[in-house]
Amino acid sequence: MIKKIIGITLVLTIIFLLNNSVRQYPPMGKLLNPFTGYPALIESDNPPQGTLIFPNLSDTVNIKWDELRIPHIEAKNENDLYFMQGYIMAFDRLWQMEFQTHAAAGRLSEILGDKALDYDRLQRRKGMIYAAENTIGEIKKDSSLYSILESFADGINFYINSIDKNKYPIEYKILNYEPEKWTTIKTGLLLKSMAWDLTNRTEDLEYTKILNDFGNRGEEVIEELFPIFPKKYLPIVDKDKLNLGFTPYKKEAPDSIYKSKNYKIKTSLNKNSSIGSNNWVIGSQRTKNNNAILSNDPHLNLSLPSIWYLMHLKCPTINVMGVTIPGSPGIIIGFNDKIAWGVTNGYDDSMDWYDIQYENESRTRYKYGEYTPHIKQRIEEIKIKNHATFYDTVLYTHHGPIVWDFKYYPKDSMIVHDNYGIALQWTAHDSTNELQSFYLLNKASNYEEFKISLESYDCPGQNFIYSDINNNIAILHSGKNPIRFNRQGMFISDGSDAYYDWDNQASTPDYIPSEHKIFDKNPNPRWYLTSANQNPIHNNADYYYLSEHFAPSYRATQIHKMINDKNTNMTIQDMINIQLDNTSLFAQATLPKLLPIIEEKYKAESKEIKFIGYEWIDILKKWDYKYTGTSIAPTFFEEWINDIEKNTWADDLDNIIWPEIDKLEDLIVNSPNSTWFDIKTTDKEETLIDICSISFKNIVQKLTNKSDIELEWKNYRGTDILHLAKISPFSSLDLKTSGSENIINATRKHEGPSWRYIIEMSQPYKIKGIYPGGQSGYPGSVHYNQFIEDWVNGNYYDLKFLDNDEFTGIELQCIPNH
Amino acid sequence: MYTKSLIRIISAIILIIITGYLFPWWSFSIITLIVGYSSYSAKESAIHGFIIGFISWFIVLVYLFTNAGDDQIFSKMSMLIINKNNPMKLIIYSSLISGTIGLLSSWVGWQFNKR
Repeated sequence: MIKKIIGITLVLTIIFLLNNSVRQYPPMGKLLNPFTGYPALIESDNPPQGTLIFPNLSDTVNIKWDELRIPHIEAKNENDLYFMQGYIMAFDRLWQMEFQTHAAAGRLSEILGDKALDYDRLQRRKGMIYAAENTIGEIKKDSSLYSILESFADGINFYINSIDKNKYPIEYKILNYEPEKWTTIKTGLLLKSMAWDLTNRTEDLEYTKILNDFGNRGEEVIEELFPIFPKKYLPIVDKDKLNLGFTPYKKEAPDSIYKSKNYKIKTSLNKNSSIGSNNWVIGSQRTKNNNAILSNDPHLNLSLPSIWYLMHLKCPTINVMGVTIPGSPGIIIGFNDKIAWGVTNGYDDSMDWYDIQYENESRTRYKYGEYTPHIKQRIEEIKIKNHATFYDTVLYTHHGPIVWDFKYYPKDSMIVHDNYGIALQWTAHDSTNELQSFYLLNKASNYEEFKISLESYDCPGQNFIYSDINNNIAILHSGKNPIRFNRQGMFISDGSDAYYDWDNQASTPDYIPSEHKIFDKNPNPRWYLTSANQNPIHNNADYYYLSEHFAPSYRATQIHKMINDKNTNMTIQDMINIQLDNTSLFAQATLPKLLPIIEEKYKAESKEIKFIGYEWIDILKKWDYKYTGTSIAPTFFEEWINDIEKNTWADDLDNIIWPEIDKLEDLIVNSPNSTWFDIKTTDKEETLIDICSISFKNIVQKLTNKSDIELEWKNYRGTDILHLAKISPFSSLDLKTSGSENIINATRKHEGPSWRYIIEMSQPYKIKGIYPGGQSGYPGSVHYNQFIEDWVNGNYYDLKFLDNDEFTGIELQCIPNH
Repeated sequence: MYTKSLIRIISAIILIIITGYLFPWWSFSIITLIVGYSSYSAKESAIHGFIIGFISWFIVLVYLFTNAGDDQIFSKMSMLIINKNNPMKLIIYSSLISGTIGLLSSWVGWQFNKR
């Protein structure tokens, strides 16, 4: 009897353990069995072909997949079109779509357990769900738009319900959970997640520390190290557009800026570097074939499955193609049969942080002028896998949610006073409606419609570049921006003082009116437009304050230079050359100043020391300033500059936030004796000469034992594209890339051009495009990372816009059942 | 005797493969339990249970692997589970799971029919 009991218990225990996730391990029995485990997914990403019945459709829809596996969907009406877009997107990217919404909503603990709790709490406290609900609430007011969003969700749900559990994407099997019903709020969450990635500015806290650390010199130091208009910069809109044709509303700065003392950052946050996106459009006057050419390469954190998904959507009212975010209807970047557009991040400051002083210990009211408004509570229920549910109370003020207070704060920081919290006000918290913008943009047929479509576009602010079949070219700096005084919102603001509110008490509008937005169209005689995340306006222009931080102008300057060097007769190949350009203008400006210092220093030192590392001087002298993968000079230069940067700033600014690299260039070129080069911990007063040679020797030593192969830039730095759940075999690691930050090809370790695309507005269009990934989200598929090798090698694909390009491929006819 | 055993093993494997697509992954243990119940000795039940469990997964996995074409999932899963790009090794390890469960459940079956 005992043997029987022991035997049964043993068998059941083993089956139980193999049927469930134990710690970080997947449910091995469920996962590895040949019938319902991962092998059941073999070739599961082959597109369906023939005829399928879809009861939700009102008419027939045809889908064709081309050789790049791009689906071309043709419907008879918009609702059917978006229904099938949802269905096809889910077919290829279901897990990615849902995982990203879980991450945005702060629900990863449901999948990953308590290790994700801190992340989830932060997401809830940032007000991500609150923001998504507000946006969906706004969309609901427009019944036709909401109906499209619902059709899209229905398509996704139809796919989820139509597949056998065995065919759920592999990540569900590994992480041991199942997809849930798709709702419109999930699309809202995806859009907010993208908005966060492109606008998050926790730097306010870091700037506040600098403001406080330097006491009376605080403002002066900020002005010097973090200039809104750096010495060398190239705005988006030309000098001759200084007279913008309107008088901006003014908000005067207070006599003294509020200095928060309630928050203390202990270590590390940002190095204040930009990821880097570029777009430009060349007028027909400058091109060989007399057609406008538009180029765009938005740079983002790279991941697999890829951020983007290529689609072509067609019905009687729409004919649009391009990339979109899986989980969002329509096309985000692309072209239709009349216009083309691309985006770069606008870099406007969309977030302000406020000190909130609680009026009482129970945190039910806060101080606001003479008043003590009620704090609203939102109870966040965070379900945790294999643990009890966690409840977090998030407090909401009129500014927004209190993200941090003594009950919850980042590990590397602290709240000094228990009776203070820090609230976040973010334009994306409002009832914004970017989906309407993209819906209208997808259908726009001329510049006026393009401009109207962007009137409802609020967050994240973007530089939309434009061209059309009539060869008009334009750029528009879009987004919702509060009217603020100079540098308002750069530091933690006083939440009790109405003057720091975005609500300007009716004396002026609260936000920059849409007719005051920065744009340029058909600039004569320049005939091209470009943006690269730089400050959009000239420093002498009478315009509004937008942000304390834009990207340095290196990329913009190089784009201008390459266009002007070629001048006329430009072709698509010229655009490719620009997108792949690896020239570092920073190196070009600084290396001729740094190398003579080292040479002088070596001459003055002993022969023995002179020998060590001297070969690097020769290598750097011969360098063409290009971050080419096969070159070893960028490896040394990058390390050297990083060390100089560290030696310059770390003692003055801790590891909190450092100025942009163009400030370092300014010091190297114009102020080699600046006190910023002095290392505070030594008695000597160091100058650039000392820092430069100390760092040079450090790097010579660091790189001494590396072989030439290891020192090649592509091997030394490389690029890793990680799987969203950090599953290593599903990632593409150690890619041999060229480029670096502040270079047009701003490829880095984890970031880079997420989509390179060029379109010539000829008839038919000539379209080139590529992104680092593949159309399928199934890691076993050849289409999962199909494009990566070509992306690394700087190759492009010709995209087919089916009106012009006939092909034979997989075809599916979707019919209603009536 | 041997022929009878062989027929029993082959029948069980076929049954497991058919039911594998219809029922939860562990359902094969019921079949091996029944095989054990009808065995003549503890040793025989254990050996047969292991062979049935192991082979039923192994042949399906090998079949799928050899017919996977361009699909790289076996290779990526072997990297994930055993940290080596060796799909055959993963197939053997996977089959050991079914073999072990088959062995134990068959032995339990024998315990219920011990003469």
